[in-house]
Amino acid sequence: MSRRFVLTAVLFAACAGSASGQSRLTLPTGAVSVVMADADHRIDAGIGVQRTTGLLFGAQLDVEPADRMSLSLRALGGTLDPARETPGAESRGVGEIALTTRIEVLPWLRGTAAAVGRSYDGALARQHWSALSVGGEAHFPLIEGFADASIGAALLPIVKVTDRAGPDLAIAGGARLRHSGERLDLSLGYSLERYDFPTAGGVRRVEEISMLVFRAGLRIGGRRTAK
Amino acid sequence: MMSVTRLAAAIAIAVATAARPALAQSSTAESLGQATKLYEDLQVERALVLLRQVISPSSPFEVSREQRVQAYVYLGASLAILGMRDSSVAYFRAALERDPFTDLDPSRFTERERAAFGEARHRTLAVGARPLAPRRLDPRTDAIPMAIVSTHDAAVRAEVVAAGDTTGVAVFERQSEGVRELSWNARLSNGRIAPPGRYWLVVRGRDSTGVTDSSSVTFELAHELPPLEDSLPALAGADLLIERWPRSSAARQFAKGAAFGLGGLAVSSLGNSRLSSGGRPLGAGIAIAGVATGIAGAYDRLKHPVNQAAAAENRRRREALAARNAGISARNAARLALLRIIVIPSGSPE
Repeated sequence: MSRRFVLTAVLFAACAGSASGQSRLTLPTGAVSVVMADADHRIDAGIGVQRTTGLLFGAQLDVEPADRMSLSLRALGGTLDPARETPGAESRGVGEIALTTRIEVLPWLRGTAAAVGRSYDGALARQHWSALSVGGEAHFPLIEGFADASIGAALLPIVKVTDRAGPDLAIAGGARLRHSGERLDLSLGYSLERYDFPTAGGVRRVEEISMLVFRAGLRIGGRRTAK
Repeated sequence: MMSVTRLAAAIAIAVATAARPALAQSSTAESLGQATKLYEDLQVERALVLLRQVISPSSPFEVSREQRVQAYVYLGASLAILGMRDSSVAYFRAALERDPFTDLDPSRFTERERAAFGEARHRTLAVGARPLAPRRLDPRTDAIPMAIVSTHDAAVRAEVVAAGDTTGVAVFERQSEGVRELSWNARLSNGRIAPPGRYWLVVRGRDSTGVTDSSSVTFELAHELPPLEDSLPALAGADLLIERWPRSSAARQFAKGAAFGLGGLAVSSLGNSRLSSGGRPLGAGIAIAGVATGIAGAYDRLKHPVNQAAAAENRRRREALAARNAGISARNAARLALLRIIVIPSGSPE
């Protein structure tokens, strides 16, 4: 499931880039970035909170195929180690790929849709997550001409987890600062995903992952002003 | 039967009364015609009688300026034939004073008559301008023909003066005698094309004895051209953005940063409370970053009070306006090339 999902996301991004490239025969407007994320993963499965944290690294490609539309494809990977207060938690490798589409619906509001595939590798098993989210984010210039800010929320109506029933509550939120200069494209974003699973055996499993993501990129293919 | 006779008499009186003005108008012309014929038949004494009737103040008939001048000319000529030179010269002078363009045709008048006429010209300084003919012209290539005259050698100045103006455009200024053909390029002294309106062609003369005379003719100029576009007015305050940030801008920058920070904390609060032990330091991190950015923005506003984006936009708007006005000027210039001036004569020489 997760492989198909990732493949679909990659093909979609490729098609979008190809469509914009065909019309202008130039690089699509956007940015190529390196990403570093501080991740915080928490689980309470009835035996107390297990918290793992760690740095993830990856890359991100942003393209703007139209004036009011942008696509982001991000890949991250790293290891989450037990936090000090939960030394008994299990270290896990984590890998993620996410495709996010943003469409400007109002001058201050963008609609968002994202497809995320994530994999946790523990000592005992590998768990795959795949999810689709839809939401919106308000944005405004924090420093005119220098930094924009956005705050948003999303519902994840489709979440599939290996060997587990999907959550009955899945929501996400995010806040992001972004500087989009002539050459550099920088952002610092915070995101949190919350998953509340149905009660099973008298225990209701809750899980969340939050990240503080720093992205540093170079703009490609010129620059759009209406963004 | 009696009533029919009275009616016929009344009709006859009415018809006679109505016909009198027409008869009066034609009588001067008839008298002049008869006098001219008598003069040509060398019956000058009989011609004199008719001519004196024409110029008599007691004449019941209307006499036009041209008819009066013609009568004076034939009176002068007739008296010259009769050897009454002084009287001849006096009548010729009267003709010249009324129409300085008056001249004697050598094929119709004798040497003696022309000699008396020449003396009259010598003794009378009269200058004049011929009424302009109707005309339509291109001011870039054509000129308005004019004719002036001085009865004898004098310093003559002719100028075109616009109504309501005191300075004219000199079209002739030199010693002159007789008729001079001139032209005016329909431009004012500043080189601009004369605007529509009423104008005078004024002629002044001064001879060597200090005698002066002046005359003028009136005419109107009209412009014929496609309508021109008005240039756009300069941008007013309401059309431009404020280029300096208001004093409250720095505080607003900080407030926006703080609001973003609160937003970041709100996002972190989406998490399940069961998982909140130890807090959510990443959410606090984005909140701190937001507040720091707000502080940086406020500092930037205090240090750089000019809104560069607004200044650039205002510059763009001014440049756009200038470009549009340049386009209007270019189109107007093209239309002005199609300008034609219409000369409309109005009135007799004064």
